[in-house]
Parts: sequence; structure tokens; C-alpha cells
Amino acid sequence: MKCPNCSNNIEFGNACNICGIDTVLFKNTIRISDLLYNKGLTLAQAGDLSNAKDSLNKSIQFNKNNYYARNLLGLVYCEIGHVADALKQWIISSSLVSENNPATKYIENLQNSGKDLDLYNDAIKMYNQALKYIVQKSDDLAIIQLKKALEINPKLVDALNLLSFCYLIQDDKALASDLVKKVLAIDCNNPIALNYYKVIHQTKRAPKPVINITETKRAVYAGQGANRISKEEHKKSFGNKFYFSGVISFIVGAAFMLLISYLFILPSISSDDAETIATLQYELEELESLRILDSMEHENALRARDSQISDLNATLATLSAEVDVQDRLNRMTLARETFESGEIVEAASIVYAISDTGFSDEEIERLENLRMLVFASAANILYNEGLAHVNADELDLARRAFETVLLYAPEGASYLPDTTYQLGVIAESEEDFERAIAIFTAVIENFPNSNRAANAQTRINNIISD
Amino acid sequence: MINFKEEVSKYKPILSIEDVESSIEADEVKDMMDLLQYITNQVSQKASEE
Repeated sequence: MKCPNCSNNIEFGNACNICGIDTVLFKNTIRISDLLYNKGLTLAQAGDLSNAKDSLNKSIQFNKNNYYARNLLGLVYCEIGHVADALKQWIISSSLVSENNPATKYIENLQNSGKDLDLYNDAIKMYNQALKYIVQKSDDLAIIQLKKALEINPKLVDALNLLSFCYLIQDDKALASDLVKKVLAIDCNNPIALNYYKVIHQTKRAPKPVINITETKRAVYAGQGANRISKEEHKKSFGNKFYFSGVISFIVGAAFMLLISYLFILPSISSDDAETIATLQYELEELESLRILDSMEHENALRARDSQISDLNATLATLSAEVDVQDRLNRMTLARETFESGEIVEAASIVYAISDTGFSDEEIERLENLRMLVFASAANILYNEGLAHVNADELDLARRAFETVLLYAPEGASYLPDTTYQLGVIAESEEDFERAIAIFTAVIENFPNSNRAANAQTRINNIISD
Repeated sequence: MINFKEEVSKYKPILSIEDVESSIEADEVKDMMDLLQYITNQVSQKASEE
């Protein structure tokens, strides 16, 4: 017979003389681990995740190398939002068996969804922080954290339960009941949720999960022993009398042995060191949670500030436009007052600088009326002033006056041909003959029927002949 | 009614991604087979001493 542990040939008895194990006990231990895996699988398929988790953890306690149990346990953890626990199980599983192990794919999937993984991790941290708040009896702060966590991961069962508990503390049974139902939809035998259900619906019995999995449909797996565990094999291994009660007795005994052995085997860790590590870990977690919370709050505050700045800029632009319009309306009033006080040219220069952008139709009409009134009078005055400057040989002043007349004069004004002609004469006097010819040409073209057209032609001829 | 202290004690912090590595290192599970081997070795050691 070969030792199932070290493959040494055992000639007689059950004990291996190399590794020292009892082969019968060894095989039975592996079978129990496989049975517990099968039970875990059945429970997981039925949506009883809490009991599946317990069963799979026990399976691993019997055989730590049962990588199938670890893979399934990882899936169960993932389903209830414990992504880090899931990752842990899959990492150990892939380190046990690297080839054809679905754990490798699970890890890849998690790592490929990097952003989601970070978010799920944030949700876990928020839950952990909320738990601390609850211990400090700050249930309002806890509720904020839990709501944020559930926004990220609505399947985080512990957060759902804890939020439900917070609502129960606040005596809001309706909200608590909704959350309890959500938990039971994910994990139908969740003990915490069932307890809350009983508290909330005192007259009702807690909903019983419906398990529709028949014996024949049960997927069974045997990790390292036989390929599949049938009822016959089960009988062969444990006999007719050794059934589930035997398994349970064995588990209890084994657990007791585990406890005693741990006391003797494991080196005693200094309790002071453990306490220090735990305190530091707690502080680190707290700081990390605070950092996440701070960064989220900071980000929200920045977003709010940006939006506020945009709003203020928009308001500022509107107000500036309104102020500008009001300023121009005020200048219109000033121009009218200046005009009425007799300072007509001054009033014209004020009106000329007023734009009608942003004005209402009524304001545009008012401005047009003011322009017609002021410009016509101002142009007439400036024309006469221009002539006076010409007579006084003040050509520069005369030119400025005539140029302004051209800006203000209404269409068809009688003095327009002479004003233009006078500008040509001034240019000629200043020996700017090119400009003079251009102006005289403009007189001929724009005012062909005026007296000044013939004069302009004569002046052009004289300039050319000279 | 729900007992606050008792209820809160049912909730445990969840492992976060940053702690996975240290958790794997710390979690050196001794399974049933390790225990059986240990006990068998102890028994055979005592027998040889006697």
C-alpha cells in the first residue's frame, strides 16, 4: 500500500514509517474535507451563502490544500462583497495548484477590473469605518458611510445588515425591513438578517429558503481522494453507522484537538506585541479611512467650488452687460441735457460714441432720434466753423471741422458738396496734391449736379497742368 | 429587543486589499492532517522513550 501523503510503500499496518501518518485517518480526513466542500457547493447553489461559507471554511480546516474549496469560498466571498477575502483564497489556491486552476482566471478578472477593485475596496473601508462609528454610538455618521459603501457595492451584505441595524436603532423599521429583504435575497439564511426580520415582523415567521436541489443533482467533488464521492463510497469509508452525526462528532473532537495542539505547538507570541500590532493596525485603518473620506470630501468641495465659480462668472457677465447698457443710457441722457444746454457739438461727440449693442428696440429708437436731432445741428454749426477757419487761414482747424461734418451730416444735406470741396482745397494748399485730386474726384462723382463739381474739375486740371 | 453590545459584536471588520498579503502570511493554517501527524509523532516519540 502506498502512503497517500509521501507515496512511501507501507508494508504492514496503517502507519507510514517515513512521514508517520495513519493512512486510514489521512484518507478519511480528506474525504471529510471533500464532503464539506460538497455541502458548501450545494448550499452556495441554493443561495445559502452564510452556511456555505462556514462549510467551506471547515473543509479547509480539514484539508488546507483543498483548492476547490478555496476557489468556491472565494466566489462566495465575492458574492457578499468581501473581494479581499476572495482574492486571498484564490491566491492561496493558485499557489497550491498552478495549472488548470480557475483561481488564476478569477484573479486575472479581478485585477483587470482595476478601477472596480479599488472602488470595492473603498466600500470595504467605508464599512469598516462605519463599524467604528457604530461602536462609538455615532449611528448618523455610520449611516452616511454605509450609504456611500452601498452606492459603490450594493451587494456588500455586512453593510446592508449594519445599515439595517442603524435604522433599527433609530426605530425606522420600514427602511430596516427593505434592507433585510435585500440581504435575504443575496444570502437566504443570513443569521443576522433573519434575526432582524423576526424583530421587525414580530407576527410573521422568518422566510424559509427554498432549496430545490435534489440529491441526484448535487455536484460532488473530491479534491485529492477519489474523483467523486458516492453514497456507496461513503458507506465504505465510514460504515453504515458513521453518518453525519459521526462527521459532526469528529469535527468537534478535531476542533478540541486543534485548540490543544495550538496551545502546545505554536510558539507563544508575546501578548504585548500582538496588542501593539493590533493597535497600530487599527490606527492605520482609521487613518486610511479618514484619508479616503477626506479626499472624497475634498473632491466634492472642489467640484462644488468650480460650479460656484462658473455660476458667479455667468452672473458677473450678465451684470457687466447690464451695467454697460445702463452706462450708455445714462450717457444718452447726458447728451440730451448737453444739447438742451446749447453745447451742441459736445452733445454730438457724446452721442457719436454710444453703441446700440444690447439695447432693446425702444432704446435703439430713442438713440436714433437723438442722433438725428443732435447730428444735423452739430454738422451745420461745424460747417460754418470750418468756413470761418478757412477765412482765418486756420487750415488745420478747418480740416478737422469739415471732417467732423462728414461724420455727422445727414444724407442729402446741402452743405455736403462744399464741405468735401473745401477739404480738397485745404489738401491742395498743403501741397498734398494726390489727396486733393482724390477728394475733388469724389466731389465730381458724388455730387455731379452741384456747383462744386465744375470747380473741382477745374482744380484737378490746374493741378495736373502744373 | 436587540441588545446593542451583543449585536455590534456580531460584526467584524472586512479584510481590505492592502491587507491581503499580510493576512496570507499570518494565516498559516494548520489543518487536521498536520494535527494528526503531530499527535502520531508525539505518541511514537513517547513509545520509543519508554
